[in-house]
Amino acid sequence: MRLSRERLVVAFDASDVWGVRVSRGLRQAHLVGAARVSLPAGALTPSSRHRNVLRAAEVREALRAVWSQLGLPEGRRADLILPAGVARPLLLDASAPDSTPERLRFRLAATLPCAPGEVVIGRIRAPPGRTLAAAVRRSVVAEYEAVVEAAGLKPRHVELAPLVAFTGLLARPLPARALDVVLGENAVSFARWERGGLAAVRTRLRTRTHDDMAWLATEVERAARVDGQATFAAVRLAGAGALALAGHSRGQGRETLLAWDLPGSPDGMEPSELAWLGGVLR
Amino acid sequence: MRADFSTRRRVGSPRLLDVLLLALSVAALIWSATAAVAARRELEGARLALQELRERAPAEERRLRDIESSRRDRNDALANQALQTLTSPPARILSDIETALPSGARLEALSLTYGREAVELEIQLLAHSPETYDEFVARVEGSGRFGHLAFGSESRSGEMKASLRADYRAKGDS
Repeated sequence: MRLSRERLVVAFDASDVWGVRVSRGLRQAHLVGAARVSLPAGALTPSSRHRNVLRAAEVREALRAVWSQLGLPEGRRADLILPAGVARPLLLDASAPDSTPERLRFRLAATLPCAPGEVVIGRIRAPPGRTLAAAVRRSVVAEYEAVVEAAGLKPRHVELAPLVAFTGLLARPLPARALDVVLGENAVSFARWERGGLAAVRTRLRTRTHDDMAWLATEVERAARVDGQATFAAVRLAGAGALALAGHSRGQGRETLLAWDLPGSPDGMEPSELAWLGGVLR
Repeated sequence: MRADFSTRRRVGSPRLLDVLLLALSVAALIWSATAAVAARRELEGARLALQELRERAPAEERRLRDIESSRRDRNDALANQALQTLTSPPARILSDIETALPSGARLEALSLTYGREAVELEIQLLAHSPETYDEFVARVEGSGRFGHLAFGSESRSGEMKASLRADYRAKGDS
């Protein structure tokens, strides 16, 4: 019987693997330990269509190094967080007739080049009356589960980085015309706030072949454009590259916030660079 | 609310609440099974009792019919006897017999049995001669009140002794 309320979370992205130990208190969770190990370039490529774990041995070694840094024995259960880019979250009306699980599956499967039966769907509530949902190919989820298992842990829940991030962001609402930007290494999601909740969510693959900051700034302007006018109150950033984009945005005179801060965070951890951190510590 | 994309069936560590619920479920299952067994036994008992009743029912029905029938017969007989007593009183029967008696004959004995349809008579007669007896018989037959005549013993040496059975019906009886 599990009496401990400690949870091990493993989060992937293209360039690194994070492992965090989270203990849940009565009011909120807090970080017990964290470890990060870099991945060799090309060992893991987040994608909704293609294989993600391209060099499984290297990813497995990185995972073992994470366990070692965290001081964990093998065989522990771990929750997985898949990176942005393996799915395209959609903001849907939860009260609409097509919000039944089967219709939701049918609709979300259209975001992927496969049959509805080959996808796994998940969703979070986005009040009022909306749901933020995504579909991931079953084979993609299985790749991550397999590599974690091969590294000696038992996979438990599997979550999606943007949805985990929005779990934390939705708990801290922004005013109307503000923008949340959730950054992953391979994809970025923009969420526009209106009075009372999220009004729109848009996701784009993040290509690094050109000036990343300029491209992101342009996308932020496009996402915030309402009735043809880019009039937005503030932008809040979370995820890979948030610090750099914040500097760029502030340079343009935008009111820019970082999604979360974590006083006393471990060395080498920049909380705002981890999109999922706020959701994990809720 | 957590969005879980896991492809595997999880076997998580059970929580205390899960264990309690499981224990409750097992207890409920045992109780249900016990109750089901008891109910089945009761059902079997009821089925046997019903079968026994079904088997006994025709016999009981027949017995009831017999009782009803016999009571009805007894009632009918009593009612008829009462009716016969009213329509054919002994004095009247005796009067009719005496009317049929020729002067050379006399009635020695008479027994009356009131039956359902008629009064059964057993007449013992002493006649002066066989012809006198024959005349009596002819008068009885001709009166229309006596039927089903059955002749008994006759002694024709000198005076004649004879016995005769007959049914008596009062006039107007059908």
